[in-house]
Amino acid sequence: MQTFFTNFINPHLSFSLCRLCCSILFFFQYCLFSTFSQEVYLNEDLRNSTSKFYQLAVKAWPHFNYVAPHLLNEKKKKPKPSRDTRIRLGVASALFGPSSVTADFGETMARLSRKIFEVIYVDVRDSRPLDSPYLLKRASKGDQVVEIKLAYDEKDWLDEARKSIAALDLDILLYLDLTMSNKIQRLAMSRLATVQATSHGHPVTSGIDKSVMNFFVSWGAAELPLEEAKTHYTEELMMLPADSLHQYYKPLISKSGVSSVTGMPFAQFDRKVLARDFKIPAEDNWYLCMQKPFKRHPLFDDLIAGVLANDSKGLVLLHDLYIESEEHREIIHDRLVRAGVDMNRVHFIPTLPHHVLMAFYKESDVVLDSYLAGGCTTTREAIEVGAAVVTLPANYLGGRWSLAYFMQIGVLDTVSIMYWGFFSCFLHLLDNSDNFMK
Amino acid sequence: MASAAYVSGYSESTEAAAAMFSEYHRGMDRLLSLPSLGMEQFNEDGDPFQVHILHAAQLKFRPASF
Repeated sequence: MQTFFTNFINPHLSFSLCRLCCSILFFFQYCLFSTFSQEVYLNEDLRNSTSKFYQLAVKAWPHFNYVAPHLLNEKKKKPKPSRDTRIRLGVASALFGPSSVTADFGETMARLSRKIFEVIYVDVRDSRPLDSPYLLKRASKGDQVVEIKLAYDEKDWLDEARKSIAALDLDILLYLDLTMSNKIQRLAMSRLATVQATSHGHPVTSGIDKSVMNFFVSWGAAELPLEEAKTHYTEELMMLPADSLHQYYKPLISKSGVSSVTGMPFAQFDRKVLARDFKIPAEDNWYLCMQKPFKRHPLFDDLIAGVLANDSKGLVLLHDLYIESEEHREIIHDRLVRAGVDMNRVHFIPTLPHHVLMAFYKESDVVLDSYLAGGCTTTREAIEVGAAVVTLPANYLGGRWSLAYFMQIGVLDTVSIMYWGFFSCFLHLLDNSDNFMK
Repeated sequence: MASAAYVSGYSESTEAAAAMFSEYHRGMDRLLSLPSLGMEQFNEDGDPFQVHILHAAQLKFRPASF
């Protein structure tokens, strides 16, 4: 298998699959069906599947198993005299953005006490073409930024990345996200710091052996009770307190109603304007779900059908495909029809500029959280503009963010604890919309 | 098997999503059970894992909505 994929990375070979894929340097993700896709299988045993993914990866490519030389004799290791007493914390990501990862972690990392921590950002360049504004700012504030540059040869890249990070002599290496970049996913199989941890930039366990990836840092409010939640992770689960927000939250909407993402106001997009521009009947009840379509598990179709069956004036507005695929369009259509959905009452909305999206949240009667994989940033944004979000929590972290946010603000009217309770939430909302919005 | 089945949101049904996941596990279990991993594992006709890889490659190059 190793030979097979090593052959893949040689562009001179004429093997048929090689021709198909010769522009790609490395086929790790094709062989192993990147764990990113597993996020949406939230009714399966993800710890088991991601663990197998890891085991298979290191079996096929034994060089992924690696311990930095300076960690091999840790007990004998003496502190270097040149080092100060601060904890040397490496913060690694391939998504320093702008991205949901910087939105989630950026301010929190920036606000860690520099008297306690020496924060070193490890910028794993993957697909981002430009410099990260976040990292430029952090560097201007005195933080060290180490860039792991792209390389043509993937093995050279991995060796160089390991050397660069090991040379930092980190006490803790924290990966903010492990599955959204296959480079990070491979790098994380190495032990490069005394303690290694990952977190919820992508809310799925790494599957990596606990001796390599020691901890998963999650948020108590968004997890099941510890005894159950820890069965979801190959790492040891560490939870931030449930009674406060897990991150430093910076609102994306100004008090004057301007999106900080686009710098544009959204008050001008009232219901009449949106109805006209997107050809949606203004007078009906709008149930909006702007989660990306890959998050809409087929189980969610029944919920959509139930919404429409319970509200004769209801219209469901769903995020359209953001990359056109006739096959996927047909599947989505046929699935909804099979679930009993009247497709005349479903409207597909394209990807929107942030301020227009905020207007949709504000003008919709109900915002639906997707199921099984739910929203995090999207739920926060919807709450910011005063929208009513109905959620059905799943068992895994990726399907429980909305519940956690509602627990923080003490509003649980829109959290359904049962599959079919979803509909009673809507009816309750529509009957009490004035009170709820207050 | 449609390539779309690789992401549950594009699966044809709940059952198809579950079947895809099971197939994925079977492929991984089979490879993990082998004493070593070599090219010969990919040359058997009808090998589900080979099909899996081909579909994954096609999914990327089509491109699909994911």
